[in-house]
Amino acid sequence: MNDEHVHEREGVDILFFDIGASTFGTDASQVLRIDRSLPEDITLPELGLPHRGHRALVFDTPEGEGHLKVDAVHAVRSIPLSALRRMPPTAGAAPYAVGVCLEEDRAVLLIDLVETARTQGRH
Amino acid sequence: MSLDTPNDKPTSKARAARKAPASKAGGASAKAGAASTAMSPAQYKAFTDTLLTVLSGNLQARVPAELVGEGGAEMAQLLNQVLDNLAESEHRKQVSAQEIDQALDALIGLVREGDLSRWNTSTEDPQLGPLLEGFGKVIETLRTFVREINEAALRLSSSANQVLAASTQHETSSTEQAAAIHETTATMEELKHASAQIAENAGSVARVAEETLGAARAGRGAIGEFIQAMQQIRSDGVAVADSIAKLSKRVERIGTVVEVIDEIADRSDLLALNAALEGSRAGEAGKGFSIVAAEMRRLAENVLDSTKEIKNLITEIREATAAAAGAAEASKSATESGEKLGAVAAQAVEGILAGVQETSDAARVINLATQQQRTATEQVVASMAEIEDVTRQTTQASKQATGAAAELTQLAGRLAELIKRFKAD
Amino acid sequence: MAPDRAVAAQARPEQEFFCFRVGDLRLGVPSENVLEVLRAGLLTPLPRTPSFIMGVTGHRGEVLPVVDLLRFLSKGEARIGPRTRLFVGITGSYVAGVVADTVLGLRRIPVAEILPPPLGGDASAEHLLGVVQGHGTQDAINLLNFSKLLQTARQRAVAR
Repeated sequence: MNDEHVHEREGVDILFFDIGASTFGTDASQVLRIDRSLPEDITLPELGLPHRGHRALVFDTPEGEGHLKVDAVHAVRSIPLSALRRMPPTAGAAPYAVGVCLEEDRAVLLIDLVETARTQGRH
Repeated sequence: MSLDTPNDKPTSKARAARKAPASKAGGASAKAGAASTAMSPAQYKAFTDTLLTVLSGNLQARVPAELVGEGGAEMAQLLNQVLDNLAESEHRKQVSAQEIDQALDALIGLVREGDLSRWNTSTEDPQLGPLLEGFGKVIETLRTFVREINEAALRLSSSANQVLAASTQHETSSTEQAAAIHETTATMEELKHASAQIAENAGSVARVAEETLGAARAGRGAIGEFIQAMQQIRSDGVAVADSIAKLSKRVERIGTVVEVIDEIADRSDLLALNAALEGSRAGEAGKGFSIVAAEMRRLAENVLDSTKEIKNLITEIREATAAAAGAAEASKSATESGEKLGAVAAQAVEGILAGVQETSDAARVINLATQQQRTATEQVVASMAEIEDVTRQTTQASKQATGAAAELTQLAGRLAELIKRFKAD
Repeated sequence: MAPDRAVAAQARPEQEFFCFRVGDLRLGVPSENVLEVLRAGLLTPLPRTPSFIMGVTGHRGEVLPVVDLLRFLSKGEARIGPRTRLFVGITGSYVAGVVADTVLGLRRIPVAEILPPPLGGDASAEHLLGVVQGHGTQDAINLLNFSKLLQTARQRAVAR
């Protein structure tokens, strides 16, 4: 994430989506479009298995377009910077789990889509 | 002329004998002629021989002319003429006698054999003719009679047969009728007995119906009381259910209050803990504070223990009220079904009452009807007896008629038989 | 700062411990390692973390990793219920939430009563300060060297 960029805007557009029973968020600027999913699209079993996975988040990577299979896509909301936290390194989480969006008592995991493609590539 | 026909009948000889005096008279007249003329012995003998031959019966004998010569020729011619006449006369007599014989034969046949067909006698005899003609007429009349009688006898026989057949049939049907009437009478007797039985049974039914009526009325009363009791139980049950519902609501309210208390106690626990931690960080200065916090925590824990107990009690009460509500519901539905059953039973009893009433009425009607029927049956039986009597008489008469008809048939047969003896054709 | 307090504590005849129960374990943590006690709220599970990290939770604007001591000590698995507590443990700059089924409270324990950890015990013994006997054997409390424990945890997580 570009800290300078988000400072200027005082908020980040976050796209919220569901995989299985869990909700996740991602930087909306990473998402090129939302498409129908294809069988070869990326899934991340660590985030839970999609129910049906009819949708795919399409994003740009140095290697080309990446497709992440998801169940449902919610609205894009502008989230104030104060609600966003970096992932504490002590948690030892996957590199694509970049941070947390704090909303009341809920913490929504923020995913770096480009990192997911890199993770997938390593597999 | 039939002079060549010999007459061999004895009767004609006898008659010829009887005619002898007449030829003697002829002889006498011939003697008188001879006296006037002289004759040779040979001539005389010729005359005598001829006469003797005639007298002996041969009327064909004639004085031969060659024997008498010229002197006796005239005499011989005369005598021959006399003899010719005599033969003629005799012949006629014979024919008449034959015709009379024929007529007599026919009459004898008629009398002996009734044969009228043989009569066809005719005569040339003018004296005999009218007599035979008269006879012929009489016989023709008789023939007509015989024919008519024969025909009548045939018809009579046929009619008599028909009468006999009819009479026999009548007798048969009369007998059958008598049997049928007898049977009917027996049936009517049975019917009379059956009617009596039915009347008796109907009486029993009426009595039983009366008893049933009484029992059903008692049942109706009991069912009414039962329904009232059920209604009472149901209204009691409704009150109980209401109370249970209220209790349940209050318990729920207590539950929410307890939740609030729980929450407060939990927060107090946390506050006290954090206060104790703060106190701990304050070192000696916070020591007293820590003691208060610990005390507060204990209180909070006590509260939590108490609310736990209350929660357990609430759970128990919930279970109990649920069971009670279930029981009340069951009781309600039981009483409802009891009421329904009672209503059904009441309806059934009403039905029974109506049915029994109808049965009783019907039995009475049957009793009455069977009594009437019995009377009617008795009348019918009496009438049937009379009819039977009449029928018996009819049968008797039929038998007599049949006998008479049979006799008549027999008579007709005999008549026909008798008349057959007369042959008309 | 913490080592100073530890030295001060050792100078005192008694030491204060934050005592709690998790699973079948009765544990104590030096009270200076405990900042606060919370209710265990909603946890956000994380991908690919070590098994003893149950996830993260937001607290006072911070993201806390949540540690399951039962898993860390290989004594089972913690379960989060409505009354489950989470205490905020700290050592140096490292802050983490730790799951506790019940908080037993703050106890001042005379240092003399702290027995050394039993020799030849399991691997968990390396994180023990010692054991304090209660009124019965059931009341014994294992006193944790929380700083060491958290550092080990951090190393294990980051080393991956």
